[in-house]
Order: sequence, then C-alpha cells, then structure tokens
Amino acid sequence: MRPCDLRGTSVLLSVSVLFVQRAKRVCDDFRALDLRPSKSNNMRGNRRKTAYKKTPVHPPRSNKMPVDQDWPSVWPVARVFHPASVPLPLHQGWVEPGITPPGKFANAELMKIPNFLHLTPPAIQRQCEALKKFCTEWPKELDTDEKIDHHFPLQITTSDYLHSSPTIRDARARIVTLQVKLSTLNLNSHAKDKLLRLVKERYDPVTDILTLVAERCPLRKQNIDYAMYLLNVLVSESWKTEPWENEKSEADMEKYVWEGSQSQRTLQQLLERMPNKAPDLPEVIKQYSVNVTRFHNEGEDTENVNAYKESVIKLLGLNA
Amino acid sequence: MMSYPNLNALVWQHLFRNARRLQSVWKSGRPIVPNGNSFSTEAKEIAIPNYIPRGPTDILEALASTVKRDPTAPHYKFHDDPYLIPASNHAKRSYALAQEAGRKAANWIKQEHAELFQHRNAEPFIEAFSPAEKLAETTPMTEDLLKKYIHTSQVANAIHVYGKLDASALSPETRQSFLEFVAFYNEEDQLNEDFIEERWFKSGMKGKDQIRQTWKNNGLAETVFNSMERKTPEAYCALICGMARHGKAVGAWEYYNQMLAEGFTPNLTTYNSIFKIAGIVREDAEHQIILIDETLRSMVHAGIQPNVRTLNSILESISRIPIYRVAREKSLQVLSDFKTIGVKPSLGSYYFLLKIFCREKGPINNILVGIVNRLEYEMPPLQDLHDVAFFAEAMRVCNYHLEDVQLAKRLHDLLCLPQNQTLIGDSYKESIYYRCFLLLLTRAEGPEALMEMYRHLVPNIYTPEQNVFEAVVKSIAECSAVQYVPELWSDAVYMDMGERESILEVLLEALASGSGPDPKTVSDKDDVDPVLATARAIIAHVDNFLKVAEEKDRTTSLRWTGSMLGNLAKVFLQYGDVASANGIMIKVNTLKNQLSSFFPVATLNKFYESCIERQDSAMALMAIAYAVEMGYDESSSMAKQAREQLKLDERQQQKLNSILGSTSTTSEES
Repeated sequence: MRPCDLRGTSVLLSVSVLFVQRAKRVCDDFRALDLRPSKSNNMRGNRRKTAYKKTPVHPPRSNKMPVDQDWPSVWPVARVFHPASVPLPLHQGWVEPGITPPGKFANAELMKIPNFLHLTPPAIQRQCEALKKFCTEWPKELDTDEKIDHHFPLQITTSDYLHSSPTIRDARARIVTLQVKLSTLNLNSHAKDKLLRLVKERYDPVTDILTLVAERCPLRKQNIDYAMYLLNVLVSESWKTEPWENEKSEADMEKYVWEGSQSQRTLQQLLERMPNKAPDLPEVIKQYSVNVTRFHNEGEDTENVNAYKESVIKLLGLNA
Repeated sequence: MMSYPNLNALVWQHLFRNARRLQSVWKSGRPIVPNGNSFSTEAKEIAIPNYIPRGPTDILEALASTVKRDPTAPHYKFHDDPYLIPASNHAKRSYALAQEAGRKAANWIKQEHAELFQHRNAEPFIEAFSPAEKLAETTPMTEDLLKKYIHTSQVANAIHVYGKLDASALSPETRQSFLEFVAFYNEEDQLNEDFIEERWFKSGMKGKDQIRQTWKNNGLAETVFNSMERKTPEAYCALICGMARHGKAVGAWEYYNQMLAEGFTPNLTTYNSIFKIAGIVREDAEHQIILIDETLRSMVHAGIQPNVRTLNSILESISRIPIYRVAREKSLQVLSDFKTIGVKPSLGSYYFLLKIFCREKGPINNILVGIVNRLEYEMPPLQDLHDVAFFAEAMRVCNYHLEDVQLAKRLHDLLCLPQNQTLIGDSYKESIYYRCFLLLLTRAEGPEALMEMYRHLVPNIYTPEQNVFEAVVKSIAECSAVQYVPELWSDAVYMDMGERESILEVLLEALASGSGPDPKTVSDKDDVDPVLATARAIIAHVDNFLKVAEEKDRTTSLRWTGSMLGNLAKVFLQYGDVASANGIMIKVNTLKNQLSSFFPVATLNKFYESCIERQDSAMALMAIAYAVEMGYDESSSMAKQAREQLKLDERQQQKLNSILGSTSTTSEES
C-alpha cells in the first residue's frame, strides 16, 4: 500500500479505537471488544487447580531410631544407600574449598558407591556364630602348610554360579582345575623332562605347580575323572622311554650340559694350542665348565658374569 | 614304580571369592602305598571329620535367624520410603491391595493372552509359570482332563467337563474323587493362593460362632451321589463331610444314620464332622453329651484311632453348650481321655478351652495361666484350622476376663518368636489381639512402659482404632505425663485421626494436664517448648481444616468446643504465650453460642488476671463481656477489679458500664 493510504487507515483505526473505548464507558452490558485476546485466562496453567488433600509426610525414620538399636536387623543385606534409614549425618561430593559438601538426601554420589553398612563387625560376628554349626573341626595333625601339602598333594578347584534369573544352569560350572606339585610325584630327571615337554606352559617353575584344566566334558564329574586320567597318563608316559628318544640331539636339550658341548671342544683346541698352561689345569677347567654351565642355564647375572670373567682370566693365565 | 593318586579321603575347603562365585577346592589324600612309603602310616592317623549334611536352604535360614525385627521399619510388603510408609489403617489396606491389584492384573494377562507366554527359558521348567490352557468348545472332554482339573482344584472347569462327559462312562474312582471334590468346595472356586493380601484382609472371625448354612441343596454333589447305583461307604463319607463343612447339619445327620443303617463304618473325617455338628443335632446338653460318647464308642469299636482334629471337633461342640458346669466337666474329661490315647492338644483345643472356661458372664478362671506355661515349654505345630484363632482369643481373655498384664506379656513374647509369627491368622484377628493388648497396657502400666510398648507397636505393626487411641491418651493424661503428648499428636495426624472431635478433646485434656514449663531447664531463646508448639500446631491444624471445609462447602462434624478452647488457653497461659491466648479469647467471643460446652470458669479467671497484670484493657473487657453473657457469678467481682486496677479510657468505661448495667438489672430481677 502506499504511505498515504496507511496514514488513512491508521487514522481510521485510531478513530475506531476511540469509538470502542467510548463504547466501553457508555454501555457496560456489552462485552468489551478485545482486539488482542489476552492469553492468560484460558491457558493450562491458569485453570483452577484441584487442591489435593496433602497427606502429611513422615519425617525420615532415622530420627526415631534409638541409639541402642540392633543395626544388623535394620540393614541385613547389601542395599543401595537409603538416606532416610541411615541415622548418620553423611556428606559426600567435591565442592570448592570452604563450602560444605552436599548432604545425604538425594545424593547420587552416596548411592553410586558400594556401602558396607551390612558388614559391621557385630553383624559379621553374629553371622559367623550362626554358621558355626555347619563347620567341622580342622584336623589337629594338619597344622603346617607343608604337612597339608604332604598328605594332600592334589588340589581340585571347581566353581558354582548363582543367578537371579529363570535358569539355574551355568555352562562354566563344569570347569575343573587340577593342581599338583611336581616334587610330590617323585620323578627322575628323564621323566620330569619328558613331562615338562608334554605339558609345556601348564607348569609354573616358580611354584613348581602343574595345572590341568578340564572342560571338555559336559558334566563336572566327567571332567574330574578326565583330569585324573590325564594326570595318570602323563606320569605313566613320562616314565616310559621310547626308542626314538635316544635321538635327542644337542638342539633338543632342555638345559646346557658341558660334556660334549661346543665350548668344551673349543677349549680343548685352545688348550692344545696354548703354550703355557696353568699349573692346576683340571681344576681351572672344571671351574670354567661350572661357570659356563651356570651362565647358560641361569641367565646373565652380574654374579655369573663376574664368575665367568674370573674363570676365563684364570684359564688364560692373564693375572700375571 | 609310581603310585597313582586316587581320591580316597577327600577334604573340602570352601573359599568364597565373591558373592556369586563359590569355589570349592578339594585336596585328595595320599593313598596307602604298597611299597612301604614312610609317610603311609601318617595318612591313617589323620582323622577327617564327617561332612555335616545340610539342605539347600539351611545356610540361608541360619543367616536369616540372625536378623531380628526393626521397630521403625514398615512391613516388608511396603516400600521403605518416608513418602510411601502407610500409617493409618485405611492407607495400609489400600497400599497392600493396590500392590495386589498389580498381581491380579498380571494374572489376568497371563490367563487371557496365553499365546504371549509360550517361551520356555527357565531351566528347569516351572509348571506353575506356564499359562493354563483355556477350556474352549473344541477341547476334547476326556476323563483325564477331569482328573487334571480335580488335581489342580479348578472347580468351575471341572464341573463344566463333568457336564459334558457321559456320567456312566466314568470310572468309579474318578466319580468318587469328583464327588469328594464338589462336596468339599460346594461348587465354588476358592480365591487364588497367589492373592495373599486379599486373603489376609478377608475377615474370618465374624459370624464364626454360628454355623451358617451355605450348602447348595439338591446341588451337583447330591446329584452325583444319587446317580451312583451302589452307594459306597466312601461316597457317603464324602457327602456327609461336605454337608457338615458347609453348614447343613440336618442333612449330614440323615445321611449318617442312613449309612449306619446300611451297616457301613464311617472313616475318621466323617466322625470328626459328626462331632462338629453334634451341638446342632441335639439341642439339649445331656443328649449332646450322650451322643458324643456314643459316637466315640462306635469309633473305638470300629478300630479307628482319633486324632487331634477329633479332639478339636468335640471341644467345639462342647463350647456351644450353654450350661457352664456341664461344659467344663465334659471338656476336662475329654482332654484327659485323649491324653491317655496319646493325642496332644493343639492350639485349636486351647482356643476352645478358653471359650468354654472364660465366658463373658461366667466366673473368672485361670486356665490360661496353665496353657501359657504349657506353651512356653512346648509349642504345638500348626495342625488345625482353628489354631490361628488362639492368640486373639487368649489376649481377649487376658484383657477382659483376667486383666493380667504379666500373662499378656508372656503371651506376646510367645507370639514374637520367629516360628510363631504366622499363628496370628489374618488382619482381623491381629487387630483384635493388639487392641486388647494395648487396652490392657493402658489400664495396667505406667506412662513410660506404656509408651515404650506403644512405640514398638504403632504404627507399623498395629494402627490403633479411635477408642484405643483415646484410652492411651487418657491414661497419659491421668498421669500428667505431658511430655508424651506431642508425639501422640503427631501420631494422630499421621494416622488420619487429627480431625475427630473426641480425639482432640482428650488430647487437649492431656496437654493441659501438665504443670507448665520446668523453671530449671535452660533453653535457648529460639527453642519452643514442645508442649507449646503442639498447642500452636493443633490450633493451626483445626483452623486450617475448618477453613478448607468452609471453602469447599463441605459439612464437617468437627467444631470448636468450650473445653477444647479452655485447655488450649490454659496451656498458653502456663507458657506465657500471650498472643495465642488472646487469639483464643477472640475466638471464644466470636463463636459464643456455637460452642457446645462451656469455656471453663477457672481458665477465664486466670486469663482475666493475666490481662490485668499486663494492663490489657481490651482483652479484659472482652473477658468480662463473655462472663456476663454466660451468666457467671464472678462477673461482678471481675468488674469491680477492672474498675480498681485497670486504666480505662472513655469508650472502654462506657462499654464497662453498659455491660455492668445489664448485670445489675439481671441480678436485680433475680
């Protein structure tokens, strides 16, 4: 529209507004014309709220708890932290220094962490007392670990699994672990060597324990029987000597042996060519052989290296 | 030669690594070695004790026995949250039934939409969780189906199948079991066992004294019975027991006589039913006893050994004999007779003994003491339907008949043992039990002991009814133990009793029974004495309630009474709360004639004196005006006091004169 027209309409508008206002003042029977409907009256927030009868809410029951109450009865099992039931003024949460940390009500930090309110010492004592009737006496003769290991060398471990689901089965319950110390099996060196080659990584040289895990059968009893069978077979096989075992060469040796080694041969050759030999040659050679064997079998160590150095010096007669 | 290890002499070592993995570690013993190993002798010396056998839940039960009751916690079925703990009886009922409604909805879905529950992921499979097959038109009606429904107690379905089947094609065993089934249930399905809350809240004791007849005359049971060509003794027994169970004593008696005429011998259950209805069949006490003796003799003659249910049925009949002396003698005789046979009485027998010996209008009898002694020594197991009625009846006897609080406490200790918790029956019996207990305690114990027990029971175990609560408050008022009243007031509000006039009356009586603040206690300026705070809270609460009622145009029965306002004023005057006391006076003045009882004169006097002390003339005049209107004699003395001691201005002088003018005229007239 052109500006002059607008002016005209605006004049008209203002006149009509005046008219309206006058109309309002003159006759109050008619509803006032509302050019801009106000939003406030019919919106959701403005409707009359039904006043519900508010039932009075209890204060938290920790206020009523007597000081000498039986705490294990109040918190018998592990439970998410519930502030109204714990009569302690706890605070948790990181804040700027100088400000009090948030209290226990609606404190997610306190609810997230595990609490051990069900494991107070009196509770543990009480539960132990209650369970004592299912326990038998430990045999008096077995008072040291060595005796236990001596009389009961075989250890079988199984696990049971509990679920809070419709099914009570768990496939992992069939797994059986059998552990035995090799020292109790009384093997000679050949049998032990053969056994170790057969079991490979199942043997732990630090603790001298052979671990067999059986899980190939569907039932635990079957796995136990299989593990026992396996142990029997391993031991019996390791005692046997197969004809092809004497084809064991130097490369197959599990540990370094001085006799017939390259080092010995080299030393022989060296000694033949050496002009001035040391006076106590056999001793020196023996010491050298011992140190070389130690060096190969036990690994590099400052002690071993030094001993080797000493024996080489002695051998070559370098300490003049 | 290597010896192979074998698995003799195992030792179990249990290691708990975490809550869910139980590792069991076995160590196997060294065998007896043939080559004379030096250690072999030692293996024989190690004595490994035998494994203590345990059931699947024994350890859990042992751990559970370490947990006792927590007095501040709600019942296990409610959520332990301040917003969700119910205090009033109505709230407890609605919360519990609301939870049950969820269970019912789930049950309905499972039944209606069985096609959604076809998965079988439970290992091992649980039959109860699989949806029941609905009976449709197309289901083949076989005898096996009927047997299945009988076995799973589905009455309506069983009747439907029976109707469809050809009656003569059924085998006699099925027919007999169907007859027993229908007679026992009286053709009605029982409430599902899963709906424990509904069963708990169903009132069981009301009307138990009179046997109401609910037996369906000429119903399905009788039809089935008549359709049998040869009536076997078992069929007779089934019908007699069913009729006796559902109240048709006459019919049962007829069939019993018929059975005896044909020369059949009834079985034990039938005899028990006959004993139960002996009281109805023979009205005269002598004849009833003769009948009981006869039946016992025929029982012995038939070689049937009576059991504890027989004893209870006989005692039940005897308990209906109105002649006290006869009933007493006979019951003791029966008890000793059965003891010689070796039948020990159960709680139900004790219940009937109490009913016989401790009648309302009869002489006082101490048999309950002997019974409690017996029970403390040995509690009989749950054997009979009437066993659950014992504790409620015993506590009722303690309260009304014997009024013995020590005995009541012993009885309560018996009930609180973990294995006896279920013997209370249902919610009605529980409420009777605790009502009697609390009423006895209000009469017999001092305020400290009473409040200790009260705190233990209320509101989680028991919510007192109005009259019981009033009794408690009255007992506190009598001892002027005003320190407990704030607690009682808050309990009243939580239990939804804060708007009842009688409760407010007694509470305010109790509140005003004290002697004012203790001058020795030192308290901060901001600390409000709990008694004073309670008085203020009560006023605020009632005013708010009345205002809301007025706004909503509701009618209430609660009104301010003169005694209530008087007690409040007394408390305010004791504690020196002038503003509130003035508020009371104003209220009294405005409500003048609507007060149903008078504002006590003593309090008015006290108020007047305190006004004069403070030189509060407006209030003093108000007091005089009220006194004059009510026609108290003290009004003239009050007026004289006012003229002498108060400084009044013009308007007040005029007012005083006008008030006094009216008094002088009235006194002149009288």
